[in-house]
Amino acid sequence: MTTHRLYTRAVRRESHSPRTLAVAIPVIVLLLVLLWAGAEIVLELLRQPALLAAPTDWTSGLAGISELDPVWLGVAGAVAVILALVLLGLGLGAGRTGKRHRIDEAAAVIVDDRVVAGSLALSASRAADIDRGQVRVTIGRSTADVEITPTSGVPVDAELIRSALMAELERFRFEPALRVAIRVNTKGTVSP
Amino acid sequence: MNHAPRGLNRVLLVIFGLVLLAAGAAALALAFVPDLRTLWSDNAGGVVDGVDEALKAAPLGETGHSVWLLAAVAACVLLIILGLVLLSRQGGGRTKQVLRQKPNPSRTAAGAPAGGIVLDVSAANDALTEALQAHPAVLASSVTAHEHARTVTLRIATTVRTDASPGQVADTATNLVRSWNAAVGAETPAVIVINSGLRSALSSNTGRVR
Repeated sequence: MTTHRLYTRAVRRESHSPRTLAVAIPVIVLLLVLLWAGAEIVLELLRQPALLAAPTDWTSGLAGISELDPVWLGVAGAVAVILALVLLGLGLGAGRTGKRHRIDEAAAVIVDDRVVAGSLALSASRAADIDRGQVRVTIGRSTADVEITPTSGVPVDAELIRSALMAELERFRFEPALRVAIRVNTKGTVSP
Repeated sequence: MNHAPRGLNRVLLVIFGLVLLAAGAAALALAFVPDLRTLWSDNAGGVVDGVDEALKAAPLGETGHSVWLLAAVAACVLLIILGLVLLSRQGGGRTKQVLRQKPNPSRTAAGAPAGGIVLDVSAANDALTEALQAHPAVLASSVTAHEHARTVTLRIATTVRTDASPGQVADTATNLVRSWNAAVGAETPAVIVINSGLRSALSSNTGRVR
């Protein structure tokens, strides 16, 4: 395996969830049910009293399900459908963990989007000469939304901030690349 | 970056989801469609009898039990083993050795090592975390080694302050990897992971210096 393919594999594995916990929970539940079912059958074979329900009663129990109160049956069905949709979402969803990456010849670098957001917020606050608390950065898949609350009476130059952030991103060279969208709140705040 | 079987995990999640969806939909239909309820109760008895017949058709000697019960126990055991194997496969891929060099009989020059060389990951961890700690934005770091397709990769995980420039930390770490490679005399692929954790949120020191 070439180093570059090794790196792309590592990047994919770092930036997508392995779904370990999501699959472990239903598997453990299933294991417990199988353990119980196996124990009941063995007890039946040994002619011992059942733990909860003997295997000979399982089919008639399932057949009698239509005699249950429809309300409880409906609630159980709804819960099952919701859980099923969650599982399908986990199985089919992309499972991105919010990372950027860059691949150099010496190393692959993977950065959490929160770190990128923090550094963009700092750059923006420096460029606009405002407190860092007046900048909020939200990072999506390909956009960085920068929300700026200016100090009352002090106008903010959005273009200046934009060029500062673009320069910062240019230096990163992280992929997927980010577009910067700047929003300046019309209502200012008292400078802290 | 562990070796969890991601594709299998997703396939299983989809299978579990579809089975649960079918069961849930059936329960909802039984609850709200009266015709289906009567259809179910009319036919359920026949199905139960059919199952009983099938069980009796394959008797287990003179015991009065069915062979199918034994088969069911075997199936349970098999599925439990498969489940445990799946759970045990979720991590892994870590190795303790960063570098392995076999003894080289052709290298007889004075000063050349006569035996093989094994470099433990703790050596890389000590050297690289110590050097990374010099960067003011780095709060903590750790180095592990992972093996895939007989190639060992270093994984350098760092936690940085919230105001850190990830580009700078990445450059520093990449240069450290180059120094490490030069010192060791081998090109080890490296993956650098830059995270911000709870610790970095608590220890940010932003905007106080003007």
